[in-house]
Amino acid sequence: MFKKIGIAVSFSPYGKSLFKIAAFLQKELSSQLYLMHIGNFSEEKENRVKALAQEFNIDESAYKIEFKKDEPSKALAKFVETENLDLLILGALEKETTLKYYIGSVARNLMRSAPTNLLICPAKKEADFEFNNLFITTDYSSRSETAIKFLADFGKLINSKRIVVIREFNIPGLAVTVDDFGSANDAEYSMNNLVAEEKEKLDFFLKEINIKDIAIESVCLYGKEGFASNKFVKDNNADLSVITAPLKRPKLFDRIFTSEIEFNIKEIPSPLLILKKF
Amino acid sequence: MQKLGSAEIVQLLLAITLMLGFGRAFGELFRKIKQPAVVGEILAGIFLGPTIFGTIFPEIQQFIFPSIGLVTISLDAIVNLSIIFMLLVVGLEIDLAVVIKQGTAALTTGTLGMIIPFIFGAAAAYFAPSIFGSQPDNLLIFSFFIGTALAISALPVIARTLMDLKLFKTKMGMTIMAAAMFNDLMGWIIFSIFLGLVGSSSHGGTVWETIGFTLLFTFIVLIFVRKLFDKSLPYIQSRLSWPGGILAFVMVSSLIGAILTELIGVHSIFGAFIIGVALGDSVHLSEKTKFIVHQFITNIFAPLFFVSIGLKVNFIQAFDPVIVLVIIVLGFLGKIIGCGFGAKISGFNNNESLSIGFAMNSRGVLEIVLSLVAIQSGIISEEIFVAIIILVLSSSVLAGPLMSYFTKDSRKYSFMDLIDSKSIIVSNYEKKDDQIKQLCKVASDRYKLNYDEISSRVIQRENLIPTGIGNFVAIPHAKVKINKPIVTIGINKKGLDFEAPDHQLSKIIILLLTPEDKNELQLQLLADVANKFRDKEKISSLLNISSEEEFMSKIKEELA
Repeated sequence: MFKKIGIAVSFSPYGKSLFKIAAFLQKELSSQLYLMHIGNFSEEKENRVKALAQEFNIDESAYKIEFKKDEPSKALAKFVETENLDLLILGALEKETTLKYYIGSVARNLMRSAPTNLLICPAKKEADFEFNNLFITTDYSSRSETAIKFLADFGKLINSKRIVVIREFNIPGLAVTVDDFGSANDAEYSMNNLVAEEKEKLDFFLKEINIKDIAIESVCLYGKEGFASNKFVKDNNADLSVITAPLKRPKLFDRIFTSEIEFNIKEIPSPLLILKKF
Repeated sequence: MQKLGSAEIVQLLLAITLMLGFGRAFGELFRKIKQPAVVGEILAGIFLGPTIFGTIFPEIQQFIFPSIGLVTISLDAIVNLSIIFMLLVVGLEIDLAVVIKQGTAALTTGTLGMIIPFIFGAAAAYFAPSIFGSQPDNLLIFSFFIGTALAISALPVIARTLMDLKLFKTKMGMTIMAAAMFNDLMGWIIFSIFLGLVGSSSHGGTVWETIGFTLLFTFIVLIFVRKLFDKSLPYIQSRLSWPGGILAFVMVSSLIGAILTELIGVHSIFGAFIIGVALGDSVHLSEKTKFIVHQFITNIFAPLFFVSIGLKVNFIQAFDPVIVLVIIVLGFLGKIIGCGFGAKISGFNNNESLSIGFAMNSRGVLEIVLSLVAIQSGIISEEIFVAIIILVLSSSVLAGPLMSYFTKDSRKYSFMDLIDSKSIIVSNYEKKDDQIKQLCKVASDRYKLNYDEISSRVIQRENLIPTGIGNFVAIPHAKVKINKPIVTIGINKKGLDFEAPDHQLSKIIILLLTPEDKNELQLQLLADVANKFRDKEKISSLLNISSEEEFMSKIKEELA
């Protein structure tokens, strides 16, 4: 699992936090690290990367340093392809300005295309992190089932405490049924029944997956898909939030009329793992 | 300045009281018989209008609902305000992200569901206007009106039908909702263009100006104002009193939208509708807030508007069976063929495509508002107006039953739908594998399945994770090669150990087989069974039986 991990190295103040996470994963998963810096090669820069690796006790045999001069998104996508990386670790601002969000920053463009599994870490100077509480959303599909099993295996390897599986759903047009229910309370009761029914399904779904040796919790949320889970992740201080990469690359329309994946990448309160290859 | 005198105030209040009271009473009555409330409200208007009340007591009816004067103008203003707020709530439920997410299927169904009935209506009106009873002054506008009136669906009726049939959360339900939302949005844009054509706008500009302003207003509100709403709503909901603050904000915003569109020459209701779309899109407008807004508007303003329809014309005098038949046939055929064909080429099977066609066939507010404008502008006759109202009523009433009939196979199955006395067997096995094998045998004999395959799959699954759920119930299950789910039930009075969490032996063993490719169906049925068998007392009473037939009648009595 995650045998080849790439990191987009920057010398910004929060670049260290990426190194810290990469070093942790490298040790837990015995991975090979590919440290990539976008820019011209210089010995001074190489020494700085080496110094960072040393600071986090990464053995010299466990990493490789590369320099590429290209447009960052393209360089990173190419880097993933040539090195056949299982995971790419990137830093990203927790929130971007509206204009930048629409135009698309390097990190967000990569999140949309997800050339491989991506771990996006919010840019924070304080690099404290732990992976005790892992949150993942599900849609009951077999792809999502595989993702949960994959996450459980990952969680066990890095000694996580629990996995919280979130099922979020929204019924567009539910409010118009108030017209015929005649009362907001009836419509709300009907909505609560749908949530209860969904929770029951989610519990059976998890029982069928039969994950052992790590605590599994289930949560059912009613709300706009992507937004409801992201808010829940934020409110409950998840250590890692996990989603599966969309099957189709989101378009500009998905940004204007915010789609599920866009809610997930619009605001990144905690590290976000986007699973593409699992 | 003219003012309402005391007598006129009494007259106005009496009219509103009767409209609200009768509208509410008829609406409630129709709710009780599981029909859309809107049908009852329109019928209340027909009752209060010249058709019934006016025929029996013409003078009293004319006194309360005069056709000219200040009272009429005041009532007209109230009805116009009602339309604005109703359009606001229609807009609130348009979720463009859902339309985009449902993608091609929704767009194809929604588009063909508009184009085909439009062509049917417009072509019939253009090439054979005489079947509509008169030769219109402007054939092009008349044809455009007939086409548009037949092309739009009604979201509220569709939503309620989907809710009743438990189809909301299915792929078909989501496609229908998304297609109806798209249909609504496009319908109102076409409506505004229609108003430009008839020149009923206050602006007095050209058609192209109306079209340009309509699109510009839509673009600005959906791109920029929508973001502004999204940013302000959390503040408004947390700082202002609830629900008064948000209710006022929503209504004031819709009125501003209405004013702006009226000023730029587009009808005021379009502004309210687009503001509704922009507000409803915000994730910060909670479902509870939407419920409150809907409740307020649909209980007060909707009855006033729908009742007012019946006050306009004498439905008996203006009833022309030929025109009614032509409108209904064209409307039904166009919509069912258009949406059905759209659904079919999007990958739905024949029955599903037909049900989508029937669901989308529901008509509502837009047709009525459009017809009102058309009759006021002299484009259509009273006979056509009545025929369109009958189309709205009949399509709304028939949407549920027709959809229910055609979705029998694809509807969400429930545990109770899947059992009969032939699927129940009382036995005395001492080993759970024997019990499972017997249930598999019953299922395989009855539905001609491969016994070895299903029994091995169920036992394999059982060995992996035991399926006792507690309360004396176990649900051994597996996904197998079948098209529809199958349930067989074993009653074992001794009980078998299915390792239930409450450590009780299982006495009701429910074998559940589901199609291999339907992951969610299995989960839904498992959840349904768990829900049904929650009450220990009811289960004890179920175990107190001596035959399969008795169990079946008890299960219907206790769990239905």
